[in-house]
Amino acid sequence: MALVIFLFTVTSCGTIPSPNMDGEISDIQSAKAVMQKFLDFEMEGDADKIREMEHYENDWEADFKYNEILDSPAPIKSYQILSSEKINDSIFVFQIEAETVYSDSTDTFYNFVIVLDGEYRAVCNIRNIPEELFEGDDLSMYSNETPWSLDVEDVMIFSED
Amino acid sequence: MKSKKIISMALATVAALSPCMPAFAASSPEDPMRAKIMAPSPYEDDTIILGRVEPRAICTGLCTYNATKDKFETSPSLYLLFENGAHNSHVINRTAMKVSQKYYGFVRNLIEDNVHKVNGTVYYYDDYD
Repeated sequence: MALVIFLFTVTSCGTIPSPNMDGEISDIQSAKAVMQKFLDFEMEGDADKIREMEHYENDWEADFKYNEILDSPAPIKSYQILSSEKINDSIFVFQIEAETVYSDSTDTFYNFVIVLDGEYRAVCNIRNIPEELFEGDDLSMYSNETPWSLDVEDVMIFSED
Repeated sequence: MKSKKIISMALATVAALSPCMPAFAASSPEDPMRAKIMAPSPYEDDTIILGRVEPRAICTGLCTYNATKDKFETSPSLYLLFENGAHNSHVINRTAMKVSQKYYGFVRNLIEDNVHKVNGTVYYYDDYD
């Protein structure tokens, strides 16, 4: 049976899957499992787990999101991962369709899994992907920005402390 | 040079085809300011002038935080534009706000973000390519 499958693969595709291709599929599957776990935590509204898994380039944004999750309903009601792609050895991008608390209709957006210091981390916005990971790669097509998006520097957040 | 996306494609087309077109008012959400077609700028070779706004244009309003995308966003009903020191948009109506939603303030300086100054005159700009 294995021989039949092997011959079918060779004759129908013309090539035998290379070890590299197998490795890439395996990488994507591992990263996708991380993404699913992260989205599950967002669906549960588990602020501690989300903070543990998510990478930020600065602490204040991490603190801000943590408090937002604590004080608000869980951001995701339901989701499905529409596509998975490996950008390079350190960045995987996922297109997600989700029902969220922010919109009355289904929303589609990009989230990422990065490999940082040998560990998988989740990232929700390309601005929080360390520059050294995407040197030479253009990630702008995976931006979640719209004409109504604001730079974080424009937003006034007043602490009650 | 960074590409400035606030200029709509329609406006860019008008500027390219009709360099002597008289002043007009732009009204799309991407381009909410009054603009006037100007001559090409001597400021930068790869710059195309698409319009002019008066100094001191800012927009301000309320925004919300979207945790799934880690970003802040506003909407037409939460947005105010102040041009030349005058309020020329609508006021924010409380009915546009959701009870359970947190809101934050924002201020964008459109002059610094989306235009550049040549001899004291403020211009929109975009890349040729």
